[in-house]
Amino acid sequence: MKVLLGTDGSETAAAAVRFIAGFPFPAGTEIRIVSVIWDVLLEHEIAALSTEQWGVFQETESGTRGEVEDLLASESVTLQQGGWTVTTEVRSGHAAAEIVAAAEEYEADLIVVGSHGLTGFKRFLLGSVSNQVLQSAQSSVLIVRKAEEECNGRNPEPPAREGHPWRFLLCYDGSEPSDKAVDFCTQLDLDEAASIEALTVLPMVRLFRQDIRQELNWVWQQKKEAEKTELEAAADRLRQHGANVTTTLVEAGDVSHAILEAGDEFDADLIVLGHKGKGAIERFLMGSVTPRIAHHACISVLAIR
Amino acid sequence: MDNGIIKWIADEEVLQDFMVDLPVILLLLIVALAVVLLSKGADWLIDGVVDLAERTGLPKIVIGATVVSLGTTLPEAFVSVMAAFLGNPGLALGNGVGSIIADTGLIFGLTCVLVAVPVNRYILNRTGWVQVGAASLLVGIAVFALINAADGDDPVLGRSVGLFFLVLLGVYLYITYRWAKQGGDLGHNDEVTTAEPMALPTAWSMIVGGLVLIVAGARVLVPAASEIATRAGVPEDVIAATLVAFGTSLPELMTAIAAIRKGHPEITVGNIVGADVLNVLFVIGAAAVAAPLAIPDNFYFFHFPAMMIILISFRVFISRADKTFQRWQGAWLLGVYAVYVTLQYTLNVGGAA
Repeated sequence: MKVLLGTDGSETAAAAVRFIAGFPFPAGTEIRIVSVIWDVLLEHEIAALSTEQWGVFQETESGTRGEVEDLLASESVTLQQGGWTVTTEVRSGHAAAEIVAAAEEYEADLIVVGSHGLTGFKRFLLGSVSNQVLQSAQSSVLIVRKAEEECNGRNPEPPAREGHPWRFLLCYDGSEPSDKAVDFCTQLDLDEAASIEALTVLPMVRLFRQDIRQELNWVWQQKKEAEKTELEAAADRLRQHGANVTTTLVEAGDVSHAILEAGDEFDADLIVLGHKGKGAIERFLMGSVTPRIAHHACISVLAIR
Repeated sequence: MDNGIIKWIADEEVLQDFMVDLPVILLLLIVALAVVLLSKGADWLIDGVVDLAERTGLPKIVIGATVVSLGTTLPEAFVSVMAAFLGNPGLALGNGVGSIIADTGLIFGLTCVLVAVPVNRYILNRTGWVQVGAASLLVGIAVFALINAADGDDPVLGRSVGLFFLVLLGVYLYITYRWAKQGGDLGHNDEVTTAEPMALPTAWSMIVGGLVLIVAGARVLVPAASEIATRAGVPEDVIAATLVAFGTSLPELMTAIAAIRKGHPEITVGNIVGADVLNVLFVIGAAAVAAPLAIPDNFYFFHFPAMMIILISFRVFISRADKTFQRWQGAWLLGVYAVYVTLQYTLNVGGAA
């Protein structure tokens, strides 16, 4: 597996490094760490600089580049200690776009970024890099939350792996992306103590209490049975690879909310879900589950494409 | 975008979780408040429609069949589009078909039993055909889909059918307007108005404001009343068959009551005819555009026939009516509706959900 980690020296990036250093990637996984320096000046602006300004600019840039290279070197060490083959790259440009471009060049299966947790107005103005990567990447994206981010009184970053087995919440809905999420989990090198909860959320219309009607209807009951069977089949696929799997099927008016609750209840370290591309109208009307989970989850989120 | 628009307008989780924790007294208070909202909204709506009719010279029945119906079918449209997106086509289709049955059987039946409803032959003869026509078209396309469905697959109303219905919706609204212009004065018994009708903008804001109150009232009333019924030990299937099945038709009912009280039963006729047409063209059309709707078996042997019996009865009553609908005609419609609801649960065919 090829993994690309976007880093910027922040605490969340450091948390991402710790997270994947201990992650049960399959043996032989290669990790590339990429850091992006923001292009402060456009080309025509550079052309207009005086010799003196150009000197200052170059000095600043090479200084920044030096710092970034030091950072990448130290992060490489942490990952190499985790047993992975590591390469590094420094790029310049717009962070999210360059991370996505780097991943495409590297042919990465997975992009890992820290969740910056910008809040309120800042987030509204700037958008978050992790969200932009999630929306525009062609590969799967893992968004890591850092430990200090207090969230509903929980500590989102799993402690040292010794004595704390991985707990994954895998969201399954029978779609192609969610089948890929199952495939991803079967590739992992999970130990005996690790456990996966496979979760299916059946969306219900709760408006005007239509859920009461739905619940009593045999068409709905049939659908529920079919989903249950599919979920069990997915769980069996995981079990064949030696994972401890439990299954849960819930009905809810709000799918994202139900997934987040299940994650809390299971005390999961990571929510794994298939990222579905939705049509523009549907996204406008209904919203999209993955970005909402990525935004609101207290724990790390892995969106599989 | 993190949240869809529907999430913002219709986050039921918050509303229902809030109600679960409330004592019964407060729930009763909420129900009372919702009823006040509903009836106030209906009053405004009717006043607005009457004034609009006087100002523009359009018959009330036509305004009832267009503007009022568009407003009162909004809850059904909302539920159906949402259900279609969430992958529950049975509910989407059931809402449209179930509402036609409830509107015509229950609400119009009740109105006929209670008051003498005048018949505007010129308009009704035409829109009545559209009403039966739209439903027949739906059934026809559904049967065609059934015949052409591959073995083991459910017949489906596709996106193109939905789009076709939405185009017909535009045509329907335009043609109704044309008919109203041509024949509005025939059979339109002019009432002597003493008060000067209000200005057009005021009439329109009464109509829109009234509709907002009605839809909001129904949305709060249904979960609150269901919660009370559940706590009182009423079985879930009874709640589903009555309160919930009927919830999205509450706006039509409240409009009908207000129209009767204020002496304009023709608005009710217009509203019911319009709502029936819109339930096919607007509700089912929009839902099918959102996601193709698979048609469950029980529609073919139960819900479609029930709908057609009620609509054809209604159509026959129009052609036989002299000046007003008869009481027994209302009673017949009510009777068919009662049999439909009873059979649905005693035979366990599955609701229109």
